[in-house]
Amino acid sequence: MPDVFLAIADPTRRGILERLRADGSLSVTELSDPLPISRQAVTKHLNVLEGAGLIEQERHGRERIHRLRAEPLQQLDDWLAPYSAAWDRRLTRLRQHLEQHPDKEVPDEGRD
Amino acid sequence: MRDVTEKTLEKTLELGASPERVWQAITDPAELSQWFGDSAALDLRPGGDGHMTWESYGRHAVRVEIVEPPYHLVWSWVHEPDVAYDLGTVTRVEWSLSPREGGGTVLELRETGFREETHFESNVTGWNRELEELRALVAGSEAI
Repeated sequence: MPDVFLAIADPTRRGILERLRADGSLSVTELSDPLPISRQAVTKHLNVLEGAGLIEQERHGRERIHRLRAEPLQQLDDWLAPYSAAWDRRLTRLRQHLEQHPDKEVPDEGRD
Repeated sequence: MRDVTEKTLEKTLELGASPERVWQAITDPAELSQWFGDSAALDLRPGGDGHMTWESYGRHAVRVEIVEPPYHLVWSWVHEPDVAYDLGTVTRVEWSLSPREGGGTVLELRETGFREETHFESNVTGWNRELEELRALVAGSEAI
């Protein structure tokens, strides 16, 4: 399965996901209309997104309808988690630092 | 999730010290080097350069954007260590300080710009502009 990060690395594909999130189910025609690229190019992007599990396609007569599948985006949250933990550690140290140095003077011996 | 391209990190912290004291701790390199990294530099004016450095990771270039003591500080920094500011992947760190009722400070921290959000927005702007040009060009005939 193609990587979610690869799938969203492209701004056109992020734009498609954003439209599906905002507008619900859309056909290729509806997705292509506001974009300055061909319907064929949009179809290629949709195939990448489907490969990554980020959208599902369903046939309605002659049209294919596309819908967002947000579950794989959890990987992005997981990716961000270490950054979040780093800030938790820094802010805990800030709190400790302020408790240890309540005045504006910073003693030299505290420095590395 | 509001926007699939907008990964925002948000933290809120209540501190016993005044906003002025907290401002000092988050802007004075001598203090930053005590709790943030191993050393730091910050030219505290919009456009000013600096860095946050960890001996074990390297130096992360910083550029200051907004300085409104003691309430609002914004700088951006480069994700990759030891890379010049203009060559790196940048995220934006916003510090908002407000006095807490009964004394102390509420510190709100936001880091944004993960996954090239700004790139995305400039692209949307580009599309909108190109689309207008396209509309003008094909006026009276069917688009695409």
